[in-house]
Amino acid sequence: MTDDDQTLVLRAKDDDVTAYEELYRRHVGRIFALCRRLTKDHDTAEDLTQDAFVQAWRKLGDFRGDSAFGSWLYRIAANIALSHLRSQKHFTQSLEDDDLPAHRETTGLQIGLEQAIANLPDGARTVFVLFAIEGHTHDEIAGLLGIAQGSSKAQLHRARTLLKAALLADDSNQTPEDGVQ
Amino acid sequence: MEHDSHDEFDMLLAREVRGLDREIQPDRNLWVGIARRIGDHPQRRWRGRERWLPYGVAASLAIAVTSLVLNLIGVVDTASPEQPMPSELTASLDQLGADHASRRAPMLATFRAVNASLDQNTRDELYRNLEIMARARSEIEAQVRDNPQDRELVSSLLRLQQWELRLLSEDYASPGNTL
Repeated sequence: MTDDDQTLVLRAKDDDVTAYEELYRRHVGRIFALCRRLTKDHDTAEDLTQDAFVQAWRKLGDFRGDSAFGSWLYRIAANIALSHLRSQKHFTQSLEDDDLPAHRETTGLQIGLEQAIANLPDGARTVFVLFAIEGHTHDEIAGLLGIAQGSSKAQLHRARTLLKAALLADDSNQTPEDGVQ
Repeated sequence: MEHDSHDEFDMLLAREVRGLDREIQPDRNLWVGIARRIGDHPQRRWRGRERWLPYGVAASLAIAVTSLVLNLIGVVDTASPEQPMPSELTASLDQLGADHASRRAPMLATFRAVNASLDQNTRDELYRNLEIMARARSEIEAQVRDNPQDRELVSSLLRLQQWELRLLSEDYASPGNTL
């Protein structure tokens, strides 16, 4: 019989590293996906994922089971990833910047949604990932990023506009060339 | 592909987003690095703390109760001469005591169950402090009956009741518990 997270957490609190490894295997995919989408850099996302699991291990004594372990771990990872982003000089500027860039993303290359999201400016990408993929509200995002709710909404609008341009360009780029030598 | 409106695109986008992988696996096996680092940075040691935490709590409570009693002595010394207690005040005080007792009883049962895993000495210390608080409460209640006009006494009684309930709501057996 497989142990549930709660049992594994209790064992991990008792210094059972094997139990913690099992928790890692169960949750690493979600944590890495969050870090990678927020940072758009694979190596950085791997480092941040490691940081999140190490920090969670160290704080395991604080975890009292009021929420699911996965949710608790997710919050730690989100804070670590957002702290990393905030330490980047251009990130804060990007959050405040409401102007659309001059279609630098709409290159007409083969762009999937994942790539189009990665190509968004930092502020717009972060808000879009947190809102549309991770399911946070604007209120929560404003708290996480230290911005006004209005800024969060503006960044989401900006992200949608840029994604639309990128994906439509991608789509129209494929159609006319089909069958052309 | 034509999109006539923002709405249509937003619906399409939402559908595409729902189709994204919720999980992405890293290329590297990150566990190796994590295992090495958690070896270097062990978990916070709560067990040692568990042993002294209830004593610390008990000591804080004892200080608080002592301060309160000393404060009360000053209050009582300067209080106006005793006056007969109006019947409405008596009824209110009775009601206050009854309400507190009805909240305290189930909390005490939970407190005993939750903290059952603590060692005997620690539990004795906690229960001894609960008794001190209960005695202090009774004494203050008696003072309030003797000095019904004294708001400071009444607020002291309410504060002590709150402390008592707060102590009873604590789970001292849980690692990482802090006041």
